Amino acid sequence: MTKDNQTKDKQTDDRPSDGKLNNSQSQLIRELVADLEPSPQRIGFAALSVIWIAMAVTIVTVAMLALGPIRPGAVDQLLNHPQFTLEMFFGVTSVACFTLSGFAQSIPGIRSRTITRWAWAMCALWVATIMLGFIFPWAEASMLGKREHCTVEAYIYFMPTVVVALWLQQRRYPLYATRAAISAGMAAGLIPAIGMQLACMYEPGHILEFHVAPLVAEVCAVVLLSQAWQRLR
Amino acid sequence: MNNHTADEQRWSSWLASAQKGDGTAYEALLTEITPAIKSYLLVCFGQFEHIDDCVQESLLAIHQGRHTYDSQRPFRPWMFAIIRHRTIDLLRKSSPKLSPKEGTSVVPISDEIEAQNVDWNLYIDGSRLLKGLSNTLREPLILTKIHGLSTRECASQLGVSENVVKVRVHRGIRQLRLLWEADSP
Repeated sequence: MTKDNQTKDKQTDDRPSDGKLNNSQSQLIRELVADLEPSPQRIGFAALSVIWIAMAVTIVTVAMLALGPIRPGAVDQLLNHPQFTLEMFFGVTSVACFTLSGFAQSIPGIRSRTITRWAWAMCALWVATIMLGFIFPWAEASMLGKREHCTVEAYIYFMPTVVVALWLQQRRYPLYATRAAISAGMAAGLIPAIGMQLACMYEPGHILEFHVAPLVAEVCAVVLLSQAWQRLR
Repeated sequence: MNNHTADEQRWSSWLASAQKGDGTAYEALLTEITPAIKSYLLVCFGQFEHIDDCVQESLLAIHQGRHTYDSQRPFRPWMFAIIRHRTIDLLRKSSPKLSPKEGTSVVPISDEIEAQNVDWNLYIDGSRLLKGLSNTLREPLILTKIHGLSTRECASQLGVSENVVKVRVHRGIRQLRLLWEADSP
């Protein structure tokens, strides 16, 4: 620090020293410049979303297959029953939108309202097409493929993926961290829920109670986790 | 090339250099954006007690979030998003007992003056954002956050309960944030 700056530091009045900045502003700027370190450029939120989805789907798929096979005929049902295909399309699109929303919200200045609204709309359509199965079932209700602890599995698969998502968000600078965390929580919760559409029995009541309902508890948990994380920072 | 475009290119370039550790570029950036931040807040809110705090908090937040700036994207939306967030946060947390800034054209409210007789234009003159609020939300916000009345004093002036004041201030700040986001570059 130069002698000139040291003299300015000793001034106690706050009158602008150069006509534009006052002394406290000048001092703050000097401190921030002194604190400057090279900061590595982070990858964009779109690329980050792709990477996180790939990681989360891999973890959930490997874990699910390790604990049991997928429902017999599930792939055939996906390819040959348009109602089921549409349902899965809405679910997968919702995951993509929530992921993009969550990571976009971790960077200041990126408008994310539209993608977030799309995410919720796709999620609502996913649930609606499941509920349509009560009135227009595309397949006979069956317990074929039932997993004994599908809800517990969903919670277990949710945890590591959401922690990674929140950590990635916090490494950036989310201005509204709780909102960003909710999007991340929805994405992390939907992946195992959609996975169970293929891995567990298909019956609308079972799906809503044991695969979809956990999302509520998961989002509540992620809000608490996000707020605790922010306090610890 | 207009001023905004020139500023945009210069600030973007300086921050990109600062991300690599260039202190000179960073100092030039912070020195130039500081009065710009204050001017922006003056246009949005007029003169208020916390304006210098908001400027400093904005600089700190820009420093903390500087690694998130992508030089392929415009600089101003990134910067203004941070400024909006810190200002609204400070406004939300500010103590209601603070006095209006000396030298502002504020009419003191005494027990003898009915709230409805106060010339609200003296408070909102120059404040683009406050003008966008409804009277119901603007009055308690100005009384508590800018003039510095307590919730109880404000409730007494407006003839409503303290809970109503708290709800209206909360809604006012929320509406202010939405107006600001819609209004911003």
